[in-house]
Amino acid sequence: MSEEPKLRTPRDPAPRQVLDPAWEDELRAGQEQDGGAGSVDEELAALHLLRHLREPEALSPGDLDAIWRSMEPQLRPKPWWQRAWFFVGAPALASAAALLLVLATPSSEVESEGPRVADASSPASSESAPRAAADETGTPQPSPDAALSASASALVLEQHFAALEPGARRKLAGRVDVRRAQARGDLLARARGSRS
Amino acid sequence: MKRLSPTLALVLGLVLGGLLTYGGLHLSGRLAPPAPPHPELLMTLGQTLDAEHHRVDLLLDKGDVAGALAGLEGLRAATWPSAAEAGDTVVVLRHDLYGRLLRLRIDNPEVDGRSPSELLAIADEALGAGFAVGDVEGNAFTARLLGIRGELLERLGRDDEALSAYEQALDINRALLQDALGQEGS
Repeated sequence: MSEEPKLRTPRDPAPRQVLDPAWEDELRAGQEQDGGAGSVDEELAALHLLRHLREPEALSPGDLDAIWRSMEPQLRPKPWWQRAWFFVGAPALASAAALLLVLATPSSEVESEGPRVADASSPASSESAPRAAADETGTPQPSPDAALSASASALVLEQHFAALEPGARRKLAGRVDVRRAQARGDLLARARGSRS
Repeated sequence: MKRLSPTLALVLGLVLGGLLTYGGLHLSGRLAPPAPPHPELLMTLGQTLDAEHHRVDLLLDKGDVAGALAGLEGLRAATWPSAAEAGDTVVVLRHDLYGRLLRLRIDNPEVDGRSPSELLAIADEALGAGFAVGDVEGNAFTARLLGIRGELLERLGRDDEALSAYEQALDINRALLQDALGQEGS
């Protein structure tokens, strides 16, 4: 249902509003009369703008969503891991935590290289110690009466030493090896230092 | 999937970062106590003692107890580096040598015999004045030396001191055994 375009004549005294939709039809008709030469796009764009200002056109939901989607990356707040305070604060706090761990850690050489001395605050009684130790080594357990005597303790201790000696010598050899490697490293470092 | 809260994620990140830093420092050896300034002293001493032990083994196999004793006494008379110079392992090596020397003398009183008092003085010389168990890391050689000291004290009739020495030795051995059992179990 197209409405017949209203042709304006000089004799037509009725002024037309600039938003009259007939302007577009007249412009198109004039362009056709000129054989399609020239362009009326700029005039039509101005007309569309004026009409839109008078009666704003509503966007379809799909177009509106597309516009919001295109704007979302700029409008959405940055996640916490992309913010400046995180880049500065997290390493600082991690370093502080590591420093606290380091300062709170006791010397680790004893733990890494060998067993520790038994806690002196909980000594075993002289009666129970030989029997307990003998049980753990699997060595012959002296009789209760014998365990009470010092001589039996000396015997048990010698048996313990016989059982522990191989491992203790291996550990000693390992420590000497460590110091040998350290001495070698020191010598190499000195040699490099004297060259440079 | 539900997102972590920023605070929780931050705490987890900090803990993880701290652990990674600590692990890196530990693995790189930065957390270990400083090495002794003269590692070559311990290296030389360790090799010397090892060679001497082998030599004593051979002498004892031949029945030459006097020669074995002379070799061990020679090392005893040598100048020993201090723990500050060469590390705490020097103390362990010292206890090893003295323990073997004393055991050899106790078991062979007919060779260059020494009285229990003289042997006790040797044991005290090895341990040093004012020795306490906590002064040295627990090891089988110190425990053996303490046991021998108890044995000598017992021969001298000083039973209370002997029992105290035995208890010290047994405490060390108990800790060593528990540690060994724990390593086997893990």
